[in-house]
Amino acid sequence: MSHLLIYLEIGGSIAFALIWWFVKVQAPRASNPYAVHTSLAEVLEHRPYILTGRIFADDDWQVARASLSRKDQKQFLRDRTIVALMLLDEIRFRAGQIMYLHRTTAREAVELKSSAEMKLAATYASLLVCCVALQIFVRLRGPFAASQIAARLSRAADNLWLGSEAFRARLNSMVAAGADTTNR
Amino acid sequence: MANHAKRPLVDEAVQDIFHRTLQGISDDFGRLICIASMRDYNTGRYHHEGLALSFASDIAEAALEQCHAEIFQRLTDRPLREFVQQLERYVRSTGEEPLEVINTWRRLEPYRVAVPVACPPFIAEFFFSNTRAALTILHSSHVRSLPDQQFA
Repeated sequence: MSHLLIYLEIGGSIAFALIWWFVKVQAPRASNPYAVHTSLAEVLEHRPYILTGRIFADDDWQVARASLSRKDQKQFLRDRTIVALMLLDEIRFRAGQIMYLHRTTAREAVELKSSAEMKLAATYASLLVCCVALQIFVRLRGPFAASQIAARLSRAADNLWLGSEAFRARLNSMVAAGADTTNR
Repeated sequence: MANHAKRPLVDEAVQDIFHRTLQGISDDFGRLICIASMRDYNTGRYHHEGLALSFASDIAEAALEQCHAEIFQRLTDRPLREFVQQLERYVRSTGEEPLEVINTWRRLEPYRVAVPVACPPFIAEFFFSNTRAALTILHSSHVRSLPDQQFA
């Protein structure tokens, strides 16, 4: 009898998990955190990664070490760690927004270059890996010890922004060519 | 007037601001404080009588907003060493006792209102952190130089 109860409990939890998953999958797309009322062009204007080099710059830390007391150095390091983590959150959010808007736009596009799409997806994946690695590194050793990973992140972000911009330009020219044909 | 039609006028007004209003100020830190002082604390809107007379008030406002963003961006892109130098020159340019200005700035943190409205929080925080560090550096260097001045 007790075995039956255990099996029923397990079955019930699996059924509950499946129903929860199904409801979540069927939920409207608006619940996606990136589904904001904005366009790809607007999102591409924001480039939070351009300050990466400055925020992770070791020369600032050298100035702080040479001129501040131990207590103030600690405060400076704490402040810069917070700023670095905020920057990484912002880059991840913006990159996610770009990929979400890119996907929704790409679904409507007739012609897609699979090689360009694969490259963009790979760039996004490497950017996420860099972000996670940097977040761990910054928490453990502070931002000034991670300037090399930060440079890689900056390059990956630049590639993602440029790749998405190229896609948007291609799409715009296709739309313009289509409108031209219709007008004729 | 449509936005794209306003663009050349705004650019002209921006040039006017850099060549007239900010001409006498040598550093971006001083320029930032000057532009930020033209903004209403309550509404976040910019006011400049002379510019509004030469251009329409909405053009003047858009130009001041653009100048503010440009100067702020340039300043946040500077290394801490240069940031400290700019702050030092600004403090001296006030004509007040430097240590008094530094102490007041450390207590009241007036630089917090110098950030453009559309600035992302992490950049604002970066600016605050740099200014705090620069003020601490200046404070210790001025305190160190005090006994020398007394005995001079």
